[in-house]
Amino acid sequence: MRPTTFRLHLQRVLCAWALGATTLPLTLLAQDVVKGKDAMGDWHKDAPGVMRLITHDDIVAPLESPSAANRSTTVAKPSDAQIKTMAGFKVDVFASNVDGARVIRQSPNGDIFVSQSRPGNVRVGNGYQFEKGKITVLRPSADGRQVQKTETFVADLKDPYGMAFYPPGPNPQWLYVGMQGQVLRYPYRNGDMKSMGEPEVIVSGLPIGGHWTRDVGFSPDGQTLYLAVGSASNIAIDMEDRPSDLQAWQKTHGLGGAWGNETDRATVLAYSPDGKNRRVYATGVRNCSGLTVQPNTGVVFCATNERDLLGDNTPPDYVSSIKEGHFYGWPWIYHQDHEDLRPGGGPRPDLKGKATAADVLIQPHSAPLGMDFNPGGMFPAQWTGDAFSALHGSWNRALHTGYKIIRMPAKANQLVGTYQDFVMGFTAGEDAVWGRPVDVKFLKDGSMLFSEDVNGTIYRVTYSKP
Amino acid sequence: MAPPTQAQTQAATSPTATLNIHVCGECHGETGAPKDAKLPIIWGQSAAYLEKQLRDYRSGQRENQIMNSMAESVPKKELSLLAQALASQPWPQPKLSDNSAQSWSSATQADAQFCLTCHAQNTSGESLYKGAPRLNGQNADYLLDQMMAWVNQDRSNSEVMGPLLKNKKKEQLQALSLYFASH
Repeated sequence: MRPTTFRLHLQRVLCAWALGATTLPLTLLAQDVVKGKDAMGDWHKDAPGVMRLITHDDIVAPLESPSAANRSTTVAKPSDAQIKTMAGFKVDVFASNVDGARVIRQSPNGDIFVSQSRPGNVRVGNGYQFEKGKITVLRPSADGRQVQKTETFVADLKDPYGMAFYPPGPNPQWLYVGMQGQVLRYPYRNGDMKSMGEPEVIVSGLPIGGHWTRDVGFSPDGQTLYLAVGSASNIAIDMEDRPSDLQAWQKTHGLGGAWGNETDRATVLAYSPDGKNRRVYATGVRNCSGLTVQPNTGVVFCATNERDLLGDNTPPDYVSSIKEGHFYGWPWIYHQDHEDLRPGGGPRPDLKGKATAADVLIQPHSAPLGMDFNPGGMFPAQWTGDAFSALHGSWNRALHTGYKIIRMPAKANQLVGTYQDFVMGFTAGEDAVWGRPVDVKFLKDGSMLFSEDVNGTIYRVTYSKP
Repeated sequence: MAPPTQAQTQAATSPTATLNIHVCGECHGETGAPKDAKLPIIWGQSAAYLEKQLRDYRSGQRENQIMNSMAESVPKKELSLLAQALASQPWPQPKLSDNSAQSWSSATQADAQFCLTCHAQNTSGESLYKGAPRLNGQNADYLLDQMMAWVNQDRSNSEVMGPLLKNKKKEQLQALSLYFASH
C-alpha cells in the first residue's frame, strides 16, 4: 500500500475510533504494515502513519549496496517547510534558540531540563556562539504552550548529556548528569532553576573520545544507577590482540566484552546511587544514546545506533529492552548471528548465536537517539505504554533516512516490533536538513516534547480527537 | 607547488588510494574544495598530519561520528598511501579573497606569526613542525570550529594545542581564522 493511501486509511480508522469504536481494529492495521524490504526506505517514502516491520529474516547481506558517504548539510528552516504528523496531532514550537538541544527531562514540579551538550558547535549561519556544554531549565507557562522563564542550571561542562533526578518520586534531592569522563550529581530541590551547590563526583574515569553521549537513568526503586557508554570506534577495527584468557576476561567484562581501548565500552554499566558497586550490566550495545527505564516494569531500554560501512540497508539500528548479563553483539555479531569479521583481535565464532535479539529493528542508518514511553493522558488511549524515539538521521546511506519521530507499539509492556512514522518533514531536498531530532520526552499532561539540534528547537506535540 | 615525490606519485596512482580520494571527495570536494565551509580542505594538506588524523579517528582519539567510521574504510596499512595521495593533490584556491585586503590588527598578525612557527610550510610543502597542518587558505569556519574544540577540550589529539589556545578570547580566534582563510 502506498504511504498516502495508508495515511487515508489510518485517518478513517482513527475517525471510526473517535466516533465510538472502543478499540482500534488491530487486525486491519496488521494488514497494512509495510514489511521487509518494502519497510526499508528513504525520506521520500516517509509519510505520517506508515507502519513498518523489519525482522531478523529481512536483514540484507553486507555491501549488497555500496557504503555511501552522504553527510547532510544543515540549513535554517526553509520558508515553505512544514512538519507533518498524523491526524489529530499538532506540532508547535515550545522553545527556540536552545542551541545544541539534546536530552530533555521534566522535574516533578514541571520544569523542563535540557542538556545543551555542545551549544556552539551546531549553530547554523553566521551567529557563532561558542560555549561549553550546559544544562538549561525552561519553566513552562500555565497552559504548557510556551516557556515563561529560562535559566542556566549549570554551565561549562564537557559534553553534558544524560540527566536523572534522584531519588525517583516527587521530591528529588539531586540531579545526576552524565558527561564525557564522569557522572556528577548536583543538589536539587523542586523549583531550583540554578544549581544551588557544588556537584559531587559519583563516577569518574569514564572514557573520553569516540561515541561521547553518556545517558543515565535510575531503577524505579532508586537502588540502581544505569549508565550507557558507547564504543570508541565504529567496529573496533584496530583492537589489539585478544586477552590470553578470554574466559577470565568475560567473567569480569561480561559475555562478549571488548578489550584494549574498547574495554567496557559498548556497554550499559550499573552502580549504586553513590557510584559504588560498579558492574557491567550488558555488553555489545554499540551506542546506547537513549537509555530509558520503562516506568511500569523497571526494564532498561536502549535506542541504539548499529555499525556503519556495510551498505545502505544493513544492519538495522534498534530499540530494545536490555537484559542484565546479556550480550547484544557489537563488535563481532549483529542481530544474533550475523558475523562481522572486521574487528581487530580475530573472529569470535564462539559468540555466534549468543547475541540477544533486539525488540524493534529500525531502518539501517536511521540513528535513533532518545526514546521515551507514553504514560497516557493525552494521546489516543490505545497508545498508552507505547515507546517513541527520535531518529537523528543518516549519513552512511545513498538517500537520507531517519530525520523523524517514530512510535513503537507495545502490548503488555512489550514492544511488538513494528514502528510507525509519526512526525517528519525536516528534510529539504536530497542534501539538506533543517532539523535533526534528538530526544523525545512525555510530560505530565501527556503531551510530548522533542528536541532537534540543527536550529536548536524544542517542539511540543499535542493531540485532540479529530 | 613542489613537484610530487616518487612516493606521492605512486600513492596517487594506487587504485585504492585513488578510489578513496574519490570517496573523501563526497564531502571534502571532488576538486578539493568542500561543499560545506565547516569541513576542512584536505587536498594538498600535510601528509603526516592527514595520516595522524586518520589514525586518531579510527581509535576514537579524535571524535567525529562520520570520520570515526570513514577512517575505518581504509585498510590500516594503506592509511599512509591515502594521506600521501591527498597531500599530493593541489590545494584549491582560497575562497575568502574578499578578506585578503583587510588590514589585520598588529595583535592578530603577531598571533598568526606565532602559529606559523610550526604551521608554515617549507618549499617542499611540509610544515616546519612535521605533522602540523597547513592553515593558510583553510576554511575559516572550520578553523574557528577546531580552535574552539581545542579550547573546550572537545578535541585533544595534540598535547600542545589546547594549552596554546586556552587563554585566547573568541574574538581573537575568529580574527585568526579569517586571517588564515585569506592568506
